[in-house]
Amino acid sequence: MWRRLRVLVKKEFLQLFRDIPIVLILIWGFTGAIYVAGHAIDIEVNHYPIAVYDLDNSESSREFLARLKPPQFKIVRYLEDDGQIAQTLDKGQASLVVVIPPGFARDVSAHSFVGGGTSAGQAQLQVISDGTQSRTAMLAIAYIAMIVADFNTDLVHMLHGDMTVGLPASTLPQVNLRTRVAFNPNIDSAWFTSLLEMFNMITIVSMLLTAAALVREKLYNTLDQLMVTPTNPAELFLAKIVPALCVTLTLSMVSLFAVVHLIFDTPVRGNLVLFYLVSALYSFSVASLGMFIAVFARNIAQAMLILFMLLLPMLFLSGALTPPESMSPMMSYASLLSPMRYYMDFGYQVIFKGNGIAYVWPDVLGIVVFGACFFALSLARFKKMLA
Amino acid sequence: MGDSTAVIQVAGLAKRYRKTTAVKDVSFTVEKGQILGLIGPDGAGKTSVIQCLSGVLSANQGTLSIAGIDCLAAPEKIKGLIGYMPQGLGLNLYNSLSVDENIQFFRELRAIPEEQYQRNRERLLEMTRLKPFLDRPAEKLSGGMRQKLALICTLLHLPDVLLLDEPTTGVDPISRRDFWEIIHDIVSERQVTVLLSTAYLDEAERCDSIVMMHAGEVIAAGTPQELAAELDDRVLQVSATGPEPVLASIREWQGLQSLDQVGERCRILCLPPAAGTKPSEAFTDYMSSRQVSAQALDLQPARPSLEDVFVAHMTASREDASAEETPRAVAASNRHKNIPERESAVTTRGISCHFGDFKAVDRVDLAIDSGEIFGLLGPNGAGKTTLIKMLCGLQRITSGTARVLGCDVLTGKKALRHRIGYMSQKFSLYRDLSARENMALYGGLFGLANRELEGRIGELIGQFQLDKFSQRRVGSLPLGMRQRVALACALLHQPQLLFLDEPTSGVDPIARRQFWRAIHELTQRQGVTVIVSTHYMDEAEHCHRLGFMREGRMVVADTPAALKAEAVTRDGGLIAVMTEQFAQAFRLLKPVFSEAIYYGRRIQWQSRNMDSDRREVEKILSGHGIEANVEELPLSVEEAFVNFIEHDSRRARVNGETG
Repeated sequence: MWRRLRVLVKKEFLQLFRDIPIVLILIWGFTGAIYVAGHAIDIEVNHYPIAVYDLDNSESSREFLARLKPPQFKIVRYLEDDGQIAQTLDKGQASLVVVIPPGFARDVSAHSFVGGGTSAGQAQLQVISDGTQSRTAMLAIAYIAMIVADFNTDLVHMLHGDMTVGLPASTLPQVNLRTRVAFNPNIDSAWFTSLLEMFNMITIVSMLLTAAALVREKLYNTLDQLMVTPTNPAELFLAKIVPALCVTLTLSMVSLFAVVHLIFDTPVRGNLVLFYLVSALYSFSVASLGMFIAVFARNIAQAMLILFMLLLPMLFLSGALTPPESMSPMMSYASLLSPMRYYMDFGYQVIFKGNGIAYVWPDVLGIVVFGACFFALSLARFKKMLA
Repeated sequence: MGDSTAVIQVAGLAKRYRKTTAVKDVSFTVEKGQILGLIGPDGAGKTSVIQCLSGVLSANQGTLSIAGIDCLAAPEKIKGLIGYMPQGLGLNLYNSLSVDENIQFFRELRAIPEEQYQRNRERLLEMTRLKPFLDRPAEKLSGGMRQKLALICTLLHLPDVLLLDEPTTGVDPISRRDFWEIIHDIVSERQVTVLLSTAYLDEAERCDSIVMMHAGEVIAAGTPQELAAELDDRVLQVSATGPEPVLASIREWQGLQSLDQVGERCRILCLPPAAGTKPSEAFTDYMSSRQVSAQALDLQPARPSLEDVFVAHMTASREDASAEETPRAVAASNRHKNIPERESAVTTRGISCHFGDFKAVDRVDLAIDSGEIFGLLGPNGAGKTTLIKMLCGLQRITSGTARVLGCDVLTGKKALRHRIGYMSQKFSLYRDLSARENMALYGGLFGLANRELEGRIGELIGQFQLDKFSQRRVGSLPLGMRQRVALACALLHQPQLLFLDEPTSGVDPIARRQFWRAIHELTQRQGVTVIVSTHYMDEAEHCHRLGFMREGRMVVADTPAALKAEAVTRDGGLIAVMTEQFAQAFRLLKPVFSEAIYYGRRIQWQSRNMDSDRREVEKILSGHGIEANVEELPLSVEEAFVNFIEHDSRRARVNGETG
């Protein structure tokens, strides 16, 4: 058995390394693609384009607008009539329009606060946002709300400062928020996205290489030829999985140190032996899923399509983009079916937090169970197809 | 015939794909109303020539024209003139559309006027006998039916020029006959010009003229008669049942160009004789100097076939292609010599394989003796591959039992794997590995290691003359070489039973001969049983026994001679009419002898009353002033096959069975 497995694994490696374009693409995937992801994917609000329709054009309104400044915001346009509001949003020239109604300065100086309420005597401010990119739109609105709150506080200061002469403004009763972010103090999203992309690559490559290797055997009729030798399906499957596993582990080492750590300065805090051991398990698990797909697919195109159709939901359910706790109950349960959920959780815990096996064992268990199930399922299906 | 204006003209055509040259310096012309056959093995460049003519490909060099229009300068203009049928069974069809919808689609594509469309459609449906299947989706048609539908779609707009790329490859002989009848009909009726390619050399004899290609070059051209005439007197047949030293002596003869053992006969191609001498006399003289009499040899002159022509041209133009090149004697080592002679190698009882409603193999009973070469013959889709796979344990058996080498296929699967060898269709090798790496892989899987493996690989590389190619990637090897590598891979573990699934598809005749010689040596020296499937009817003579398959059923299994004899007993011998005015003669004879068919320029049918039929033919033809030569010909395996299949389908119809 071991000799046959060795012979088969050797053959898979020979075939893999003779496919030069594939080798180059793999190297790109684990270096260039991760570099691009780390730099380009940014869910922060940066230079968010704003249009302003200032009907008051007063000192107060200009004072407020001056606070909408870079790096978060950038005022790109001043509107002249309300018809332009919809137009600007439709054309995508700005993602948010701030409307300052006439009488803003008057209402502000009439000892009132800026707010969305309609009660008389309050200054009004309208924000119209493009909700297409819902996540950034929400963030932008939250920022504006913060700016409005600051503006209000300053108004109070001005007011009280006037009335209680001699007292410093800081003596006013108020809650002062102090935040400290653990594990990623500057909330540098590149730390997160570069690792996410690496985890994605491990998933895609493990699945794809194994699936393609099996489908190719079907396509060139070599599968029958193998199956008349004493080789059994389990050996064949292992022989397909092992090279994919070796390749992803090696390349992920390169990418973790050369790209994620060196370029993006992401801290690697956990035990690397644990990380690579579990990564190998995970690679085996998703490779088994790749096998499962390949057993059903009749050609490479089918296999690729099924693969990507599964990959995206797996990613969305992984909890990397939205924590499972924030999903609807059904989706939250569904996320338990995504092997990526366990691996992402494990990966971030180990790399960022430096957690050990005592913290991550449930994830490891999930990965193992998932892998064992799919290996057994695909093997059973394959045997049924043969006999 | 007709006015002799060249409709298709090709001069100095060259086509390269990056580094590989597919076609170099090919020139020929086809006259109006003629059928030109482009023949040669896979990779000879036939498809490239046809694709350049049809405007699908551009050429690197040379001029091409159809009806005076330059195909390279104005490919759009010729599209209305030609009907082009690409290679592959009905590749221009849409599988999910019905027969009727496919025809409709081509009508709309070509914008054929209503009246013309209706007339053509009716006629073509009648000729192809597809009318009862109008509603059937194309994917559910048999290979032969698909090809006929493809032909309808190609002929619908009444093209003046037909370009057909391997239209009959893998098609059953009966559909092939229909196919040729349609082609002959439209040629004689509308003076259509036809260029078709084929890998079947025997089929090419049905063409008016032939261009024989190999490795991108034209190696011979002319009418079949002219080409065969070059080899007059040079092809001899002797009995091959004599003792081995006799064959060895023949191989040593100086005048020998090529030797081919087919069943119990040996076909000898002699080198061109010196002026004034006859090769047959030289051969008899030589053999008697070796104390072998002409009587013992049963020496007879043979009619040169196109295969002989191919071999003659190829071996003359290739310095390393002599008798030397055939695989060397197989080493007599055999691990499994302890099987008693004539033990049954394969026995099956009513084995079937169903895919849903479809019966791929239907209640087959087989008994194959050990040491036998058993041939499975039948068109694509007859169930040959499925049957072989079932016997190898690669395909589940729906019902029935099968015993292979004394083991049950289902329970003894693991043990059997060490004792059987299997070579799947299209030589399933790893193309990105070298020949040696492929062999090492399979050897390793069978548990051979280190010195034993190296020794075995060396042995087979020597035996199959692979020395020069063992380091090259299989993908870059010519087909014939790939076939030998595949056979070597299947033989590494010295199996007692060898399954070969269409081992010679697309391989050139010389490689085919070498291949068959290796197979014969395996059975003779090592007692290996060989089960081989093929759709080349002329190859069937190599087998000891043949099984004719049709739609999953084994119609009959017997020796080639017995099968031919049975066909003759049932429907009489083959009567052949040869005349210059064959088209006219056919029109006169067909109403009287409804079974008459064209075979090239020959008209033939099986006749129960040979003498009276012969008199009748002579009376009819001489009444119209046609001179003809009428004779009785021996049946070939193809004719026997057609006879059995037609008999079987008649019986199936009578019994009310489907299909």
